[in-house]
Amino acid sequence: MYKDNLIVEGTCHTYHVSEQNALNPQAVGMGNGLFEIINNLHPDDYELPPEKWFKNDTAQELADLMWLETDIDLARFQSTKLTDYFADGMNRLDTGIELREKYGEFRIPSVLGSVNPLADDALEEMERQVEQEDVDGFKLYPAFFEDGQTLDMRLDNPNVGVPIIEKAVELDVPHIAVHKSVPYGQTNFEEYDVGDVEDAASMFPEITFEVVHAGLSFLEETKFLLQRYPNVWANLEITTFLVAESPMNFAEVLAELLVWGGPERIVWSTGPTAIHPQPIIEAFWEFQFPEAMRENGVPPLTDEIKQMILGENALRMMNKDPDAVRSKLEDVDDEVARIRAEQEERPEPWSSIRPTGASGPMQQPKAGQKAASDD
Amino acid sequence: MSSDSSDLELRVREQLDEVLDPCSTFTEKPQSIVDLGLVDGVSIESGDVTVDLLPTNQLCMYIPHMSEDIKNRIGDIPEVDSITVETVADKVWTQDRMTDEAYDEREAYFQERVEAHEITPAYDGAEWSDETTSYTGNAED
Repeated sequence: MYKDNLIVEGTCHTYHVSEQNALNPQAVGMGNGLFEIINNLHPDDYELPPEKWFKNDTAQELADLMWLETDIDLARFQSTKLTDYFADGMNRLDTGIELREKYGEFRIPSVLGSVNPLADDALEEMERQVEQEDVDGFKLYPAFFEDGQTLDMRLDNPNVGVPIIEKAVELDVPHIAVHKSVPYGQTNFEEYDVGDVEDAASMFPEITFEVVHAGLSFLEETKFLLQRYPNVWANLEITTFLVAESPMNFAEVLAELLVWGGPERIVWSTGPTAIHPQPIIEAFWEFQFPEAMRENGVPPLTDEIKQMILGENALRMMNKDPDAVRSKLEDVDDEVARIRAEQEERPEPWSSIRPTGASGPMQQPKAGQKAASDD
Repeated sequence: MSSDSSDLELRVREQLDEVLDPCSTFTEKPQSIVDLGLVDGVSIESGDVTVDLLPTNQLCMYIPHMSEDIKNRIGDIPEVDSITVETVADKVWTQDRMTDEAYDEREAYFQERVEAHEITPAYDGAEWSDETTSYTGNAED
């Protein structure tokens, strides 16, 4: 908890960004580009060294980062299936399962599976992940990169996205998180608007759609989505970075989402292990809309609304009672509570991530490197 | 500034006016980066052109796309030898950077959509709407 406020991390990952995992020059460019963006935006005290980015993160490193270095109480794990760029998909599901097995469903209340919707066995793989891995929903991307082409994986594509959503309904895991706003690799940026979410939300009112990176682009469309569809939620992964780095930009984004969509479906998210959550949590708690915006009809950002955004909304999105969770947190005697009780002081930022030998950006993959299988 | 360089800058700015803001291309009213106030400056030395680009937010992921479009369009001008696109990081884009025409056009389009879909804000400037169910407080912090 941060100043007695419940913190639920909306998106945590175990990244695997390395030359061994990169399948093509685009993956190398993407991993290096992400590293540059991340370090441009972190406060100086939280700069992420290359030897802690260009590596294969473990579940334990992610856990130590969240439980020892931040005030996160609960975290939702989102795996990714970016097998167009990275052999293992970049954020493997098995580390999320490992995390939940070690720390329990109370601390890790959601693990999202991921499939390549274009794969022949996509629906079977969804079944497998639900039946064997007990995933709580799926994380999807709107496009796939193959042979220099962008392949459409949008939610409203009747041959790709729609069957995936129908399968999620059939499997009774009615939660779809979809990456938006941030073009990945070389795929066409046209795929990253939220128009398909609107169609999908209308077609499948029983599904919860979580727009990841909400507000970073297509702000107007996103605020209308929130206003019109009660089954659409805004996940602020990376968007929250603005609160520390560019608070005026953050004010513009949050104000629009709040004024049009209301405060209930805005979900806190930062994105460890790429991003250190703690300075962002602290900056958000101190954040307030500028007076000029308040005079122009933007609501006051009360402590109640901040509490909703920081944790309560994510819990309600998962059909959990925030009061019950808060109450349990006060009494819980689990691994996290114990290590925090024993902790005398907070370790240095990123000390939980063990370094590798990487000293700088990735080099291009060697000729002949083969893609891994898609399972 | 000589008339030649003045003429070149004019043509550079004409080309910049053809570069569309990527986000706005998803609407029925695409707008240029010039009209939106994303071009913070243009400088020309001989045939070397530098364009200062101010994104609507510092995490804008479409800067590479805009930069590429800028380079392609300005690159078509014979007198241009090189093009550099610099991202401005020490300023914040606000709506008042838009031209009056662009702002009015955007507002009109916005109102059209609001009315067409009968969209009402959750907060009307003074109170939360009834649909905003779980938030009942009105406490100032």
